[in-house]
Amino acid sequence: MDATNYSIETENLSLWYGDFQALIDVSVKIPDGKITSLIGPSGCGKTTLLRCFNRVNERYGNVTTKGEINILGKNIYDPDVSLLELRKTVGMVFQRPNPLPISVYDNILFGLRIHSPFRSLSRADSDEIVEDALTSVFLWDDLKDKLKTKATSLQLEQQQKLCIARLLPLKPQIILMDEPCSALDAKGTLAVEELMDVLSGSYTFLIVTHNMAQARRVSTECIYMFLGELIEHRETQALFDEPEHPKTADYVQMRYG
Amino acid sequence: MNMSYPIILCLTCLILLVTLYLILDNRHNTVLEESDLIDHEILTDPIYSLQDKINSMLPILIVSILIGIVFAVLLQEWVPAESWIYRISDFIIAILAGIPSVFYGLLCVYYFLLKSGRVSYLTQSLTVVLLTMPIAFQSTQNAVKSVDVSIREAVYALGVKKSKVITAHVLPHAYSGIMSGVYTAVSRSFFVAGLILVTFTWTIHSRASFSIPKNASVFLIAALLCSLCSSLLKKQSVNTDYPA
Repeated sequence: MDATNYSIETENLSLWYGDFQALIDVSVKIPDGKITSLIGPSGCGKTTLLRCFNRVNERYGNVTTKGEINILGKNIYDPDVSLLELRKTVGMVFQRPNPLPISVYDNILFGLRIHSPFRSLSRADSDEIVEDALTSVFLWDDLKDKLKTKATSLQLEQQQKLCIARLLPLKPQIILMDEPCSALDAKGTLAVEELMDVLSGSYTFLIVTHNMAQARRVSTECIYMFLGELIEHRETQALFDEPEHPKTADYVQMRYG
Repeated sequence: MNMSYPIILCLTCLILLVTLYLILDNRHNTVLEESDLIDHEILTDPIYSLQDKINSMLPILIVSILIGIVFAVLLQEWVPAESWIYRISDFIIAILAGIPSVFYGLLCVYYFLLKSGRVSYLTQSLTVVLLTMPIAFQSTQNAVKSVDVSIREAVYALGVKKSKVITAHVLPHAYSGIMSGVYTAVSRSFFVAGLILVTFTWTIHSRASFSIPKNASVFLIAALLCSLCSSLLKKQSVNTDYPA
């Protein structure tokens, strides 16, 4: 099996919240270094699937999972997998920008500080890491004089970019995004999309979106889900232009609901 | 929550009846004589005894507030809100915190001082604990609860351990809420100490019998009722939703 080409592979993944089955036998392969989007109506399990990949679902209790998830060739439910390392490798960006209510500078270093031994980061190193992270999300020019301001006072677009920048010092390989643009205006959406496009070479992106135009614009591959089942997974262009499954066709041509 | 409502009502009524009985029951009225209590510095030399009391009670005060805070954080973060242990502790604390501070003082005086004739270290400590612990607990619980869930989730997603999330993120952001609870708890215990000093000094000097007049007890009961209702309703209205 050639695991190197796929960042994430799931094998017959099923998931229950109590008695309710949210995912039904999902088998999917997410290619490395590309942007893959997950579309489908509300409640179809997109977000649940996304949350499986860094095991944040487990926090809610009452969740049963069956099947296998291989991330970078390793089953994440193996007992020897460190949950903390997994979450470092698989970063997550949320629907509402949620920077910590501390300074921009501390936000970016928050994860790294917790993961490295006490006082092992020198001042110069920290400065450099912050500059690198902000530069890669195109925020350095805007924020270089505002590093000490509270992150929650920034514009939403900047906050969301900061949430992406916050992941970078931990050197993730996969970035999960749960409707990252739904709280942003058109300009902010465009900026975040551009950013994803630039970063997609070095990171694998998996993005949940309700906006089909966005899925079409940003993603190389697209997955359509319906009521917990994976209906279709193809290249974006193909999925939108000639969907194979009638349910997909209904959805992408807006005949659904 | 639906099931617990009748229980709350019954218990409230029970507590009210017991208090009513204690307050209106005049059989235990004792005329305090200076000679009886001459060895109590608290009554003869308030200033000296204040120093003494603070020295002996301060450790208890600090420990009981700390226990309240630690217990609240443990309960809120590690015990699921549906479990019986969470519900019971939550409920008992709500009742304890809802009782006006003056009642603890009065009960202490009535039961322990007048019946046994002296104030033991244990009695005082127990009063201080009852006065401060529930308040410290409740304000810590609310402060911890109000830390933004989505931000907390983001911290978890950065691969941070639970204990680390709490020490590095939750506690710093709940700090002001916790401290406000600490000050309220301390002020409660000081207030009661002051009140009892005033009452006793006055009782001794006027050689009156220590009893609560009926008209005063009406106010006290009304205060108790309102305070308990407020505390229990606050509990009901607090949103304990978990994110979907």
